[in-house]
Amino acid sequence: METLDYQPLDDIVAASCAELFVAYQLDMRPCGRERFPATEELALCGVMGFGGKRIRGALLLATTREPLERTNPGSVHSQRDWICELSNQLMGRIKNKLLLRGVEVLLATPVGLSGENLCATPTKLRAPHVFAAENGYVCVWIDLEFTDGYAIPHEALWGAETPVTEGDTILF
Amino acid sequence: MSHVILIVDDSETLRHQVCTVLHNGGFATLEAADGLEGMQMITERPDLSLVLCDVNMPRLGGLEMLEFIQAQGKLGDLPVVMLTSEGQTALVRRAKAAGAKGWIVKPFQPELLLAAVKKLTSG
Repeated sequence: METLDYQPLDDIVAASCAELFVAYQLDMRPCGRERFPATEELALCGVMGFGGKRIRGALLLATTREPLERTNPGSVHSQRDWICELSNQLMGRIKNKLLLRGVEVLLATPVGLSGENLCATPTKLRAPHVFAAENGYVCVWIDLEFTDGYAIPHEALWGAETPVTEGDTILF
Repeated sequence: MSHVILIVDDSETLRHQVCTVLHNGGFATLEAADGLEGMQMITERPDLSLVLCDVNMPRLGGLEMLEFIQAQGKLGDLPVVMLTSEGQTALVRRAKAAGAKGWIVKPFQPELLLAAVKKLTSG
């Protein structure tokens, strides 16, 4: 059976997640899956689907309560709304990095999930990326299917589209 | 009288963050939760000075909203700036072709957002 190469995607997801939370002044470090928080501690999940010519999949972002509060302090709005927005921004970063490798995907709109003992079981038994913040944890799963024989390049492609960088403002 | 800025985004939290920045800059704001609501407000509110609009939204996306309003001839001189997590240049070109005046990739930097809004509403 052919083994799919998920390393490029895993690298992209890990970098994108760390960059996103740093942009909101929350430093995180990757930690092993053994630090995965008990599912009852995961406050909320945001889910985003995506698809393109050669890949399709879904991203799930789950956090304990503290990272949500730290990245949106003083908010009177729902944390469900905020984790949806964070999922959206995380997927935007992942898409930008995929574009550099010549992979284009279209994004759906995010949905939020909350519940007790939520536990995702991706189809390929892919382990979540777990990040430890000062107080709390952030977990990201990404599951996807490739078109037969396709693999995400390990490096950016020469001549690939360079997207507008996160945080940039362009006036025409 | 304050300039009135319409924020079209399906995230209530994001709208609140943008409103806070704009209020601190002396602007008045209105909010819409998707492209359909945004289109209705643009049609009904001739006092709008600028629109900040997300791209991916339920019911009607921001680019589709912009293109529809442009095709109807209702955009006039109203500046529209896309505020989105998308950075794909094909989408930026599409927005520009539809009459958008700018593109901001989230997370936005408050000072840059405010500077862009001030510049586009000063004329």
